[in-house]
Amino acid sequence: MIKKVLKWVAAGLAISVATLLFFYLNRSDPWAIIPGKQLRGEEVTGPIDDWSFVLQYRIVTNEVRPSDPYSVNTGYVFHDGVLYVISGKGGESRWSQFLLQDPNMRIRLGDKLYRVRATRVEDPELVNELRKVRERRNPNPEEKTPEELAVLARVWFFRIDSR
Amino acid sequence: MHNPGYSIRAVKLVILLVGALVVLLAVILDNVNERNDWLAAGLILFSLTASTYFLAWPVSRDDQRNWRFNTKSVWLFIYLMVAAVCAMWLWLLKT
Repeated sequence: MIKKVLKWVAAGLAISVATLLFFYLNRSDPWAIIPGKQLRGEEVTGPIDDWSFVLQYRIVTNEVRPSDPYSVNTGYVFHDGVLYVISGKGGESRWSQFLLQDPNMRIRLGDKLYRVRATRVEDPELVNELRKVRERRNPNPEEKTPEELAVLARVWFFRIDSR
Repeated sequence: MHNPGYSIRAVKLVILLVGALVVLLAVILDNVNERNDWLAAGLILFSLTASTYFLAWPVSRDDQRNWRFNTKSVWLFIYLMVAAVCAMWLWLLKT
């Protein structure tokens, strides 16, 4: 009896895994925590001086490592006319490590792709300011636990400039 | 008289039910979503225990000493594959 039930469960699981695998292997865009590959979209040529249009989007999709594209969705901060993308896990995320090796990347906003260069923000004052801007954007009235504060402290910001 | 085989079967069933319960509660409390680490953990526990019901080599000799395919191993393979996928899922969530 148990084995019969387990066979039906296994069949259901196998179909689910096969479906997921099919979508995983054929992905281009990142999906939730799963990184994507080369992004699709119309590439905008020419430098962008005003990034304020970014504010109409909730997230930015980053495509790093041009030699073997790797893409992820991230949050961003728009401050003093400059766009910064956020690595929530700081240097522990793979994409931020790729960016340190090669700062050339593309970002997608809406259905358009922009060729940009990323520079990690290391000035402590600016990092603090960006953290505050980020918190203002995502207010959390509850007092933060030490663990949550530690998570916030490891965040990295990358300044985005057109190339 | 105490039968050890019976005890092992009972323990396996309990672990299997605990795994199924974790999966069920994880889905009820946090829905089916990629950040649901309890769902991944429950599936690992369930799949690994379920796989023990189908332990078999992929091929074995029959009475006439001919090699034949063991269909039981297909179920074993599926459960081990699901456990591996869920382990990767948990690893992705924790890194």
